[in-house]
Amino acid sequence: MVSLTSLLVTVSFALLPPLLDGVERKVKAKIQTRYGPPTILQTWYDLMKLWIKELKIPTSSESSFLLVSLSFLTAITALYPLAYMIVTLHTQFEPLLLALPLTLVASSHGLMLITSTSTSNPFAIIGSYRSVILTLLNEFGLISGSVIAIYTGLRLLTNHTLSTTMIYLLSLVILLFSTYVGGGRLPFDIHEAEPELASGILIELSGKLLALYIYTHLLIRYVLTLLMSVALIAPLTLVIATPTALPLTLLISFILYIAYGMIAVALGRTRVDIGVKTLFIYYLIALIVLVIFTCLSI
Amino acid sequence: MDLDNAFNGSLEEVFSKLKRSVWVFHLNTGSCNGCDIEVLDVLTPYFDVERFGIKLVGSPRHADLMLLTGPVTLKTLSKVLKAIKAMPRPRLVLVLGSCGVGGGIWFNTYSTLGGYSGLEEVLKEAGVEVDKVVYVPGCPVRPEAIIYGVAVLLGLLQPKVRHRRVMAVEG
Repeated sequence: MVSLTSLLVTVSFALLPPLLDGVERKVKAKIQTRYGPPTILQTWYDLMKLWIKELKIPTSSESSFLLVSLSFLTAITALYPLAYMIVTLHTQFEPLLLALPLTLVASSHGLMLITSTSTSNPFAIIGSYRSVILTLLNEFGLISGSVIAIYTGLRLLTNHTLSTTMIYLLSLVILLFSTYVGGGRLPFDIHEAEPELASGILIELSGKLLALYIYTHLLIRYVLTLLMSVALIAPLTLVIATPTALPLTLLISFILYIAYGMIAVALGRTRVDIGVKTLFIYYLIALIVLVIFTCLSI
Repeated sequence: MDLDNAFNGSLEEVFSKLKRSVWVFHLNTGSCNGCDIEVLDVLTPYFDVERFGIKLVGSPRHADLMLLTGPVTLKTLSKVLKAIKAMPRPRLVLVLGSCGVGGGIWFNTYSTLGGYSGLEEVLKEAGVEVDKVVYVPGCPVRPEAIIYGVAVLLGLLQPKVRHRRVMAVEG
């Protein structure tokens, strides 16, 4: 029964990202005092249009459609363990359920990078190298942040000390950074910065290939937002039941998704080229503070 | 790899989807930048073309519509051909400004093709098909005229005037 519920939740979660992107575009437009896209379904319209356009397979990358399809399936699969985790969070917590979405998101990113490095377009290759560095650096924050945040969050009600609370909050900050960066938002974004950089991993993609890529990208964004939402509701799991946990996670993920979009608007003119350096400094500071608090708690 | 059966369904079906979402790629073929500034103007929050589902993209591979400015100089010809060829079908072209439409003051100079009419012949010779073209004259072209041109191109509005090609007579 739990598996079936999780499957239904996964299917409904999988349809949400383009819709959320449409809402985000409308909110961004409101902030900039303009009308924006005609409806919140605009991203769906874009994807449907791309699906019927001509497919031009990138030169010397005949397997690109297979790779992008695999990446899409991997991103969809990453939703299932998360949905299962949300449904069963108040009764049990399986570490494997946390490891699975992280591994699947990394695999999805990896498959995308193979697609762009296999093309003969030098701009796509340059874009992928930058993306590889960002992904590798961000994996640290994503893994450490989510593991510490969810573990300490689940123990917060039974072990309510100042140091545990501080470690939980700090790991939340790390997770917030890493989910923002992993979602490919400005200034850690190859996709939106593409016209500015004249390079990017999707420069050679067209038609169905581009539609699948964009959908995968939005799915990964949503998976990471859900991960952050789970970390946020982790301390509440003992006091709330599953029927409440699910809509609460959905609501938090919705607010977070839009909040990330608003941060991206605020950081719109940030330099893209020093993104990696900035991220490294942030993680280093967060790591040092985390180690100090852990030592104090011991 | 270019597919012969370029897109799924008829051109009308594809156009019905395109009406809701148009991604444009801006290409300068040797213009004075007057029209290009107007194109940038269209993309600012003042005109906000996102309300029509229009979005600027950085690669011709993502584009549905090419905004072409300038009289097509011989220097830019090979790049223009490559960029148009890189667009997936259906390919739409919006020719902007007097230079783009008929060459403007450069209509019969040695270093240009004299606007899109010259380019059209080169495209035919190269076997590159363009599914629909709309001409928006003006020097420089007005932002409102560009938006109107897109609406005409997508069949949302009917054109107010029809073009007639006039050939220059030597002597």
